[in-house]
Amino acid sequence: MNRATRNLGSHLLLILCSLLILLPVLWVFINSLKPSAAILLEPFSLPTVPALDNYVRAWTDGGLGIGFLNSIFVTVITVFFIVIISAMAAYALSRKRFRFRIAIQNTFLTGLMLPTFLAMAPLFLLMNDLGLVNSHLGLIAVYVAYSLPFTIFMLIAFFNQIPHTLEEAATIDGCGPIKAFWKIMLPLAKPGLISAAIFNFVGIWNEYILALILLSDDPLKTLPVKLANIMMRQQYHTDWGALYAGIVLSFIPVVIFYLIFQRRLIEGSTAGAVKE
Amino acid sequence: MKKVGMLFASILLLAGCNAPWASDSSGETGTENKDDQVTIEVMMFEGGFGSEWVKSSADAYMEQNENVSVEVIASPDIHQQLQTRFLSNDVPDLMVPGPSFDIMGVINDGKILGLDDYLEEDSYSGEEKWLDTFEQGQFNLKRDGKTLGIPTVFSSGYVWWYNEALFEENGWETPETWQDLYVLKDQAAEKEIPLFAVPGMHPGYYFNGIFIPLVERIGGKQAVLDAFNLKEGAWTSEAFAEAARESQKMVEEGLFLEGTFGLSHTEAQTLFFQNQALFATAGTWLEGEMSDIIPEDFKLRAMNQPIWEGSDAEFLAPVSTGWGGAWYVTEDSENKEETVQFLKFLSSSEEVKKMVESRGLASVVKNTEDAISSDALKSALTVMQEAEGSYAPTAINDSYPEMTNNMINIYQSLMLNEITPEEFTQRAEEFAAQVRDDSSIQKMEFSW
Amino acid sequence: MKRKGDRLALVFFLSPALFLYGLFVLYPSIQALWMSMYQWRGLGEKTWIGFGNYERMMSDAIFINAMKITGKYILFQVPLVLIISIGLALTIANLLKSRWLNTYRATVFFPYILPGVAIAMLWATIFNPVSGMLNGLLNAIGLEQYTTEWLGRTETAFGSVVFVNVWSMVGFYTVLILAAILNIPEELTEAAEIDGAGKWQKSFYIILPLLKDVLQVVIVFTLINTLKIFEMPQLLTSGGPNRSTEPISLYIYEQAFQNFNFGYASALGVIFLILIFIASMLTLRLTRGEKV
Repeated sequence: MNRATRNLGSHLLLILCSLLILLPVLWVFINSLKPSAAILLEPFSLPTVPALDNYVRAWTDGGLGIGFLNSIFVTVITVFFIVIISAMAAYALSRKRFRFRIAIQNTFLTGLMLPTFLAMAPLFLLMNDLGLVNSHLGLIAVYVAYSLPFTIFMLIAFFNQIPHTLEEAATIDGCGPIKAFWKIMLPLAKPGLISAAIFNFVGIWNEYILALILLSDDPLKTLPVKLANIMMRQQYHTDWGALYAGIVLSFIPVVIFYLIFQRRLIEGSTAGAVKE
Repeated sequence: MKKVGMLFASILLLAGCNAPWASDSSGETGTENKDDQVTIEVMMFEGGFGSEWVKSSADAYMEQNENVSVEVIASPDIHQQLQTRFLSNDVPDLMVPGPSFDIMGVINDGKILGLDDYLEEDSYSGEEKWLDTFEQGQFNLKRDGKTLGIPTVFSSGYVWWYNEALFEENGWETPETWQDLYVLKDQAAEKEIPLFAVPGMHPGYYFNGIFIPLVERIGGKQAVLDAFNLKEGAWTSEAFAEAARESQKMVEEGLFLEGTFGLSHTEAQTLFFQNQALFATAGTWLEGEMSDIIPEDFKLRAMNQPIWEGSDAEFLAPVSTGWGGAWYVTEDSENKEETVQFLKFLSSSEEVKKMVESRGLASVVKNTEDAISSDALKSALTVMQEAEGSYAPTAINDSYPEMTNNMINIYQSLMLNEITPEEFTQRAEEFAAQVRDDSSIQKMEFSW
Repeated sequence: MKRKGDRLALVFFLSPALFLYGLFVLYPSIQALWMSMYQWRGLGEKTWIGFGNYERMMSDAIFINAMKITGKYILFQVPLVLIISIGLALTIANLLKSRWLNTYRATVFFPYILPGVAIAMLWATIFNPVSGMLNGLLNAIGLEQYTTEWLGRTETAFGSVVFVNVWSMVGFYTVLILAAILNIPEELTEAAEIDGAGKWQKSFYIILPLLKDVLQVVIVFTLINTLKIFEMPQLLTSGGPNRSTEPISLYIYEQAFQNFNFGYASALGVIFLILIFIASMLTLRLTRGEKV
């Protein structure tokens, strides 16, 4: 009992914070079930009949459906390549000793500090010259490139924890370095790889500015850009119902993802920073 | 190991193109068609006027011409899509770029086809010259003597809209002079209705709908023209100073709806249609844009801005310049002939009449006026007819978008009482001087 | 022979990463330097103007304003995120061994995984002066005088954008700090309890000094992420009213993709890159310096 009262203050504070996080989401969800006029004029009324057609319009007319598919396509492929390519680089940087190791590591380190928008104009023109504007392939390549620095450093930390003996044993058995990497290191680093994948999944799924610049054709746009377009459309229509429904729709996949991977996501996010 | 390799290979294969569901709708289709098959790609801005009328005209055209397929891409952010297309030299055949596109930039680069030769040809019906099917007064999208754009949608500039039913019910008069506004304000205060609902998120609505008209009413056409032509000292002239002071006074006197400076324009307009304010400023697209929520007993009518007592300025009506809303054929189009032919069809009075009926829009195409069925639009037409002439408050936006954006931003500060009227005119003059001194910006000579 | 194989393996392992990173991250950043010497609108002629773009910048009041605003974001956001996430982490850590720890941790972390665009739209609806939840709640509890156009007025717009940024970021750092606290060996804190240290004394004198490493990471991360903010001001206020919430990122975007001044946009990027390097170096110096 003593303990409970001691923690009362902590609980109060945290409940308040939780409300601040969850109430806005709840309010938008309730409003997303109301017709547009009611949203503007009676913001605190409860929906009488759930206006599910808001969701249908957001999904079809608002283009969230196609944006959803595009985002899945882009995100899955991007994350796959990020993890493979980063793991290869991290393995070399963690395990091998060679002349330019520090220089290469520092080059990647700089990338942690480069905000994507700095070279916005040259990047766009480069992609244009390569014919990669308005192409998912182009967006994926840029996503992978910009995600490498963080993921490489996260994975170096993981590889550093794997004892050298296992690998040495493999080499004695006649495994070449590439085979040793595939057969020994990758399976051992699996938890790290999964954490990296989950962490990047969220980042790529939510990415907005690069997609905004590099994809302008409607059928190619990803979910965040489609969502921003719905907001832009409100300048010429009065469909707030679809806007609110769109917000909720964009929450659903990440919430499901979060419920499944919550623990790994939180651990993965902290791994790179804390373990070193 | 093997499995991973397979996955890797198949993903590479998949990544070689765009997502499969996205590839077929983006342009270059129709390769399997017959040799004489032509695809016309249309990219258009979709705002308050919508795009359904173009799509249905395209369907009708395709039925009549089986060798032509017309693809219409319509979006409110079409300017971004167009810019990318122009940079990568993959341009559509026909376009309506909308208000945010740098149309002067592509015109200066010679990317837009001159249409004068085509205008001398027969119209789609073959009864007269194509040129003669347009009202000449509104048909002036020319640069260096070349006709570049074909407007089919006519819009007034930012006029003031009100609910005639509400005014009749309360026995209120629409204001004749600017000073009458304050009388009206006191009358409406009894019903607790303020005068204006304006969108603070898009201050251009009151820069174009209140401020520039106010300058015209005080200093006449010349004051506006001098400013638009970037004459030194024009933005600090007495007309601008007075209009800036009056703008701030209007806010102080409570002529604006509370909270209005934080609203988007559809929100502000919704409140206007709920009779929570007497006036909204907008062009003729207003009715189409808000059609879903206009109450049945709402009598939407347009009025010209009131006159300024003691000024002998001309009584002009605002018109929209229409560069952004017009049709353009691109110089690099591979199907110019077919595209122009389709444009002739699109701008024929039969097709435009259908558009006027279905979306309730007036037009510059002759013989379509009778098709206007909406009283709101008829009243907007009356505003044009009763004025002594016209002026185009939005014209600087087409030529100097960056400067206009800066002007609108500081006007917002003025309305929020963050800068004084003197600071406002001074800053505006500085922005005008920047453009005047920048040799890389091509200057436009305005005259109405 | 083994050496050669090793070298080949190295090339195999490193070349994909170096190729992509070099082409899409480093090359455009260097290219920016060269492009900043031109006046170019993307279409038509490129004109060499030397340092013309940099000269223009010095007298560009909007650029100077955007720099100030970016500085203001850093000034407010970094300390706010730092203080709030330390506070929350310590509070949650208090509930050690209770089943609530996980619940609170999961809730606090939640905003971090939501799409930034959706967060901006969510809060735009809440700040809406007519139909928004905030003004509605203020009215309901009798605080009408505090209702305002949150995103439409200069006095409140900046604070509102900062609030949303903090709302979306703080969970991540809380969890980061919390993980570090939970890593602290229990003997250390228990010893303090035996010595009769109170809860807050314990936090201050025992735990905080042990968190120096993670706090350094948090500061650098918040700093970089604050420099990167884009969608919140873009979607909440479009940088307004009168550019009072416009950070440099938004101005670069405006110059590049609205005014199509690609050369000028590149020059802005270059200057900003230099400033970021200085800021990062200073931060690292300062936080490292403390440790020694």
